[in-house]
Amino acid sequence: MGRIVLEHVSKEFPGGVQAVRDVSLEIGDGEFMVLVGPSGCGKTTILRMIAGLDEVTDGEVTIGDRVVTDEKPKDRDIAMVFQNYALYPHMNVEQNIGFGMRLRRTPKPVVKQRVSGAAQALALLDYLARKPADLSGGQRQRVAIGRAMVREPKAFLMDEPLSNLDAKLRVQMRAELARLHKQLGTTIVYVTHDQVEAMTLGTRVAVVRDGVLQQVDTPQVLFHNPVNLFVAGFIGSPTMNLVEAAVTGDKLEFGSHRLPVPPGTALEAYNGRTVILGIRPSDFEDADVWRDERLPVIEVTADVVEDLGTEAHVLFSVDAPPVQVEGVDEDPEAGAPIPLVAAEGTSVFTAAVDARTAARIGSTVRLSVNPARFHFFDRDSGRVIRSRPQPAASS
Amino acid sequence: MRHGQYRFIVGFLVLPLALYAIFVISPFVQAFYYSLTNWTGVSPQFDFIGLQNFQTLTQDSLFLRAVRNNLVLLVGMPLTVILLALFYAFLLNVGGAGSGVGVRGVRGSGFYKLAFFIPQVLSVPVIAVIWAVMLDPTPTGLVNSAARRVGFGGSGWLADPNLALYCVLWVLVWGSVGFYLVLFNAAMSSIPRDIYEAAVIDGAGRVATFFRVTVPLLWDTIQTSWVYLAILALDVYALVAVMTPGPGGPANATQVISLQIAQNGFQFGRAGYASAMGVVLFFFTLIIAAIMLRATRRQRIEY
Repeated sequence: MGRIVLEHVSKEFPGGVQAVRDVSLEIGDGEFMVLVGPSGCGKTTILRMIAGLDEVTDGEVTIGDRVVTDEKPKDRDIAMVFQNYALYPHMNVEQNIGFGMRLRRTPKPVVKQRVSGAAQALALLDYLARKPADLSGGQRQRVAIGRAMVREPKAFLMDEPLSNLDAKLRVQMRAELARLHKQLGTTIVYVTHDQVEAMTLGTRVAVVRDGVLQQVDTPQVLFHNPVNLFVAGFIGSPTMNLVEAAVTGDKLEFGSHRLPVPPGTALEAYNGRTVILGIRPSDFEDADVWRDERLPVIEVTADVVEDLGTEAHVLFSVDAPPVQVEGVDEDPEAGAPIPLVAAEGTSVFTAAVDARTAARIGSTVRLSVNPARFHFFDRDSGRVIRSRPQPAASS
Repeated sequence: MRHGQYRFIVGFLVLPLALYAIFVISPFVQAFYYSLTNWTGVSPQFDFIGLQNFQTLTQDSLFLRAVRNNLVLLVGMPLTVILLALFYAFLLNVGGAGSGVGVRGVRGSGFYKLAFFIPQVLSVPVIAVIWAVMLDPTPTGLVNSAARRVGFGGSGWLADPNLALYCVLWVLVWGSVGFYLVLFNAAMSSIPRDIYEAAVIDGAGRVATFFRVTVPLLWDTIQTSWVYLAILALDVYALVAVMTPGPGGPANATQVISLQIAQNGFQFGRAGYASAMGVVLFFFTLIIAAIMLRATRRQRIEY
C-alpha cells in the first residue's frame, strides 16, 4: 500500500525560515500527486520530508500504514529521483541501478535480472556499461528512474526530474512518465514549478504557495474552479486575465467595458463595490470568426497579435488597474508570452482566439466573451466568490 | 605557422629553459658525474673511480640503515596521513550526528578545520623544536609528566632507539594531516550533495557511503596526495636534523638518506660518495612515483 499521509506537517529551518506551514495532505495508493508552485514555495521541502532527507519540525508523516516521521530514509521504502539525477559518476549504468540492491546483499543473479528488466523497460540495455558522463541528459534521467524502479518502492518521489532536459525531450519524457505510472501503478509524488507538467501528469495537483497548501484537486477543477487568485493566476497558460471590476446592479464595469453580471453569481453583496474579475484567455473568441448571438461583445484595439498557428493570442490593454498576484509573474520558462509593460493603471489582457482571426497590430477586434465562465474574487482576501452551483462545462 | 610566431615562442621559452638548465639540470648532471669520483668536496683534484662509490654503498651498514628507515617512513607516513585526513574530512562533511536523517558535517567543523591546519603554517624547524621539547625524555618532559599524571610510566621517546623513528613518523603525520584534511575537505565538498542523499536513500550507511561513494570520487586527489607524501617521506631532512639527537640518533635509529648525504658531503668530506647516495635517492624517488601513479591509476571521473 503506497498511501502517503501528511498530518499538520510544518518545517522550520534553523534561522527561523518557515518553509512549510501546517500541511495536511492525503495521497492515495497509486495516485500521481503533483506538488506545484513558484520556486521557494516549499514544495521540494515537503517532498524531502516525505523522503526523510529533511526532518519534520512538527506533524506526522505516514507511508503505507507506518508512521515514519522519525525513520531514516532507507527504512521508508521510497525511491527518489533528483533534479540533477544524482547518479554515481564512478559507476556505470548497471552498477548505478543495482547499487541499492548490492548494499542489501541481494543475490547477484537477482540483481542482474532486475537491472536488465528495468533497463529494458527504459531502453537502456545498450548503455549498461557506460558511465553517466557518457550519457545524454535523457538517458541519465532514465537511469535515475531505473535506479528508483528496481527498488520496487511504495512510492516514487520526484523532484523536478524534467527541468534539466530540453523542451522537446521534456515533452517526450513527460509522456514516458505517464506511461510508466500507468504500467507500474505505484504512487508518485512529483514536484515541479511548471504548471503544464502539473496539469498533464497529475491525477491530482496540490498548489503550494509560501509553504501553505492552496488547493488540492484534479487539474480540471483547478483550472475551472480555482479557490483563490493565486491558483487562478498560477494554473493555465497564458495566464488568466485579472482586472478590477465595479459591480453596479447587474452590470460589471472594467475600463471602458460593460458586461452583464452572469446569472447565478453571488455578487449581490458586492453591489456598488469592486471585485476582481478573472477571464481565461481561452474564454474570449473573435466575434467575426465565431459568432454566437447570445454572447456579449467587447471592442478592443490589438496591441500585439501572436499567431501560434493553432491559435492566435491577441494582447490588448484595458483601462483599469492591473492586478498583481504575488509569485505568479516569475514563471521563467512556461513558454507564456512575455507580458507587456502596462502603463500606470492599465491592464494587459490576452485573448486566445481562432488563428483565422483578421486581427493585426493596431486593428480593432470584436471579441465575444462568455460571462458564465467569469471568475470573481474578493478584493481583500483573494478568495473566490462562489457562485451558486456553477456548471463548469456549460456552453 | 605564421611569420614570426616561432621567434615569439622561442623568445618566451629561452629564459625559463636556461634557468632550468643552469639550476636544475646541470647540478643533476654534475652530481651524476661526481658520483663516479672520489672528490672530497673542496680539493680541486679528484680521480675518476667508476662505480666504486656504488659498490661501497651496498656494504655501508649506516646507509642501508638509512634506506630501511626511509622505507618505514615511506610505508607508514602516507598511509597514516591519508587515512586520518580522509576520516576527519568525512566527519567534517557528512559525519554529523543530527537525529539520523539528512546529510551534514559535525558541529563546529570550521573550527576543527582551522585547528588541524595550524601545524601547516609552522616551519619544519619550529615543529621539530616544539616536539623535541614536548618529548623531552626526562620525567619532567611535557608528555612524560602528562603521562604520569594519568597513570602511565614515562618513556625515552626520541632518546629510545626503539621508539625514536616512530616519534619522527608521528611528528611527520601530525604536521601533514591538516593540509591533506583541508585538501580532501575541499574535494569532498565539491561532490554534489544529492549524490550523498541518493546513497542515503539507496540504503547506504556511513561506512558504505565512505568506501563506495566518497573514496572513489576522491581517488584523483588521494592519488596525487600519495605521491606528494611519498616524496616527503623520502626527504624529512630538516625534521630529523633538528629534532633527533646526533642528529640521526640515538644509535642511528633515525638515520635517513638525506641526512647521510649531508653528513658525508659536508662533514666527512666525501662529496663523491654523497653524490652517489644522491643518485640512488633520485632513482628511488623516480621509481616510487612511477609505481604509485601506475598502481593507483583509474579512469577519470566527471560529474
